[in-house]
Amino acid sequence: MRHCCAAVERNAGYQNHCSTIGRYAGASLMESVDMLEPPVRLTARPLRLVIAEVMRTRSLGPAALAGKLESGAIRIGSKVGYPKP
Amino acid sequence: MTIAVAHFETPKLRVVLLDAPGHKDFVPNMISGASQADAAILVVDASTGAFEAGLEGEGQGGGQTREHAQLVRSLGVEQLVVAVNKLDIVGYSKERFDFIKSTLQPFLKHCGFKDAAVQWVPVSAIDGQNLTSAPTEEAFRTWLESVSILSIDASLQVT
Repeated sequence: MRHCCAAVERNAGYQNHCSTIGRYAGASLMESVDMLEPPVRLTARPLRLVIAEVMRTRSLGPAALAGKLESGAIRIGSKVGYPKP
Repeated sequence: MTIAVAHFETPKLRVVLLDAPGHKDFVPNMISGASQADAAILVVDASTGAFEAGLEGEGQGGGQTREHAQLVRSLGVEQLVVAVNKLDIVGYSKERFDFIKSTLQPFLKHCGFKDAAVQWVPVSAIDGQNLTSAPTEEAFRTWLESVSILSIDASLQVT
């Protein structure tokens, strides 16, 4: 199974991605975690947030969204527009 | 129920740990944690019968080790650290660790994990062995050191 996103050539750099890990048996758990490679973040791409959860309050309705940012970047105070479904 | 979050730092990384529950009643919670993750630590119980139950177990999907490994890969996680825990119960047996590794490795490959992206770490959480530093337990340290020397040797490249 391979995970691809053709639009952003997501899998293109995968071969090098894991080249440094999986070689050192005998490391402690903390050392093993340290050897993990952070994925390449597609911060220059448009915002794409996969919404996993919507939190609602009685007075405000949907008040907060939670999910994983697949591309783009966001910070506190950013204005996010989305088309009405 | 929410997912417990912890933060810590390693020399290279700032790590956000999402503690996804392993019980089969909480698989939906595990999914919401795993879907946000860049990498995963799969904690496997090494004690006699428990590892086997995790892999074979009852129910349609088999045990929880099997279900979690399949789920976490299908959620897009490519890197895995397999922490083989409770080695104190089996007397820090290298044979037991090797057996678990050789049983689990083909299955993880089948799930879609590349061998190079999977790290194997024998630990005992209750005794604090091999978590943040090399183990102090004599029996454990002896075979783990022999493994590390061998693997460093194997990772050297001829130029």
